[in-house]
Amino acid sequence: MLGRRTFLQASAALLAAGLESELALAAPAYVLVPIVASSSPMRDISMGTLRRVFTSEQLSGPGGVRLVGFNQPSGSRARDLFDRVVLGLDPDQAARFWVDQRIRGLARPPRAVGSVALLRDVVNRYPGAVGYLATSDLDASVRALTVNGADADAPQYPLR
Amino acid sequence: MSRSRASRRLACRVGLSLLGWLGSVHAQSADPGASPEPTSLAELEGEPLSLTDPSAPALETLGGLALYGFADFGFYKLFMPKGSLLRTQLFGDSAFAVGNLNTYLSGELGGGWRSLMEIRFTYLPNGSRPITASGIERVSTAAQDYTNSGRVRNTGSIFIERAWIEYSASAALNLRGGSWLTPYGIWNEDHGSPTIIPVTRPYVIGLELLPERQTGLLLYGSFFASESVTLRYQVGLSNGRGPIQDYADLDENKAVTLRLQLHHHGAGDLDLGAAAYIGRYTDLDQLIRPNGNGVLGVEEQLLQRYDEASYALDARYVRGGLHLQTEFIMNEKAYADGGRPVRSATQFQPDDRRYGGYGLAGYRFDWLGIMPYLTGEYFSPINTFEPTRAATRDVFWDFGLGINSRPTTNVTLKLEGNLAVFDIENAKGSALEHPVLGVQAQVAWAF
Repeated sequence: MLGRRTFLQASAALLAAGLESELALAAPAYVLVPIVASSSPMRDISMGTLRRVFTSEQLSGPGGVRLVGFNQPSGSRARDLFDRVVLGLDPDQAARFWVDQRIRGLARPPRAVGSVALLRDVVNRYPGAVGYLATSDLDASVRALTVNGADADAPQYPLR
Repeated sequence: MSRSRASRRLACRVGLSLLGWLGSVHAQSADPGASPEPTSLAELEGEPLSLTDPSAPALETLGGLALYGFADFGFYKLFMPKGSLLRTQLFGDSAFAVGNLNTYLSGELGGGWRSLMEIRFTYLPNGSRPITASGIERVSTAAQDYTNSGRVRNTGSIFIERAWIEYSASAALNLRGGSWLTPYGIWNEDHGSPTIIPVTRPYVIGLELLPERQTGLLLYGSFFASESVTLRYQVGLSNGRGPIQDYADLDENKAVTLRLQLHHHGAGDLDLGAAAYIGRYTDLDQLIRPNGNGVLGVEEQLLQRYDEASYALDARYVRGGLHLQTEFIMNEKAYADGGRPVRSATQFQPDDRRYGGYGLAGYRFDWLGIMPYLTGEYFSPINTFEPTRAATRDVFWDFGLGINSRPTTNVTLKLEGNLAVFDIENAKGSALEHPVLGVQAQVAWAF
């Protein structure tokens, strides 16, 4: 009896694992793209510049305009991926990082904007604003940047 | 609605949302340091501030005020002999205490201007124990509370930790004026109890071989040398150290501070820094006496004067949960003629070179954000603590073992044991003859 139950459980586990991997293959990859205003002359941004913008370092872009980062809300899939890939911090580490920066008297964290639509509005409104979106949230109102010269389809593209 | 009117309305809403953020008071949130995210433009319609297109300010000129801070509470016990002279400086008996209660007011003033004020509320000077010619005199701030039938309460005071305004021309050029923390090392910049890992600062830091803060001008900036390397500089000009350094310079000899720092982001974050401070300390007394014409005037009497130079090196490496940091600091002090204080009835204080450093190693685990850590400290001064002993070179060692936990973003729990041992000449009967053991527990929180 025990052997039969074990066999059934093992079979079910294998079936579930197979289904998950099939689904994973079928689902589109979750990829982020940095965005700026559609009127911005920027076309590309490096990982180093992204990290500096999103750690509130003072940085200027083309034409001397100051680059200011706008985050997605903490806890969102986009924010977690962005912080992990660009800042090298998991959500807890990122939260502690900003508490520590605040106590040191350093710059505040980039503003988190609560919706993708509002983020697009903000980025499109201000020439220095830099945000990031999942590729599925892109529309013509903002410009998607390449990262280190690679576009989102390239195999070496880092924001995935 | 015309297209231009619609775009004006959109711009107004976006501007409102930004001002709503920048103008809000920061509160604890999942995204520390930021107010809750606006989720729609409509929710900001009721904002009292208005912003009209096309006069909407640029991003960097949008301003706001943030109020936040940190505090800590702990239990402290030092094991040392009852009659030890160390008890004039340290409270040995077990006690609970609220340590720091610091509030920050940070303002983005627009046009590249920014200000920061940090105020610490303290029970001091009540209970402090300055040593005078007649012995130890404990300060009492007892006052009758007129709102409570004149019953006696002890009043406290405040420390102005920092108060500055700065103008930022670019990443490479920023000018700060006011009272600022001296840019050196790691500890002095980490500053707050939720951020620093152990419970108490190393002896070599607490001694202020470089002054903890200065009042004057600070020029600083960053250069992005490559994708992963940032170089930073800071140059300060200040009143330097003095008995009333926050608002007076009794010798008009300005102190100079220089700091250079390299940050590398790669396989972990590496910070390397070096700092130097050169200044003069002068303490004067003023005597009112008749001058040659029989008119009352002020005669200044030099009480103490020395020239000093301090140097500091620091390194920190953080990768994942691994945290390593170390600092080394040296201070050289040379007294001027007539400005050398007495050490005892027959001796003057010698010139001094004090140096020391500490190292800290810890690893933070994901579970409850727990970080076990080890510290080791070395410090060597000329003996000025006990006049009954010769002015020989003393050596202090301190070893610490502790746990730092950050179970939530804004709360830090610490438990630490320390052992201080001393290597001194003629130790018999000295306060430093025996090791000192300490047990400390602290909860620190950011708000």
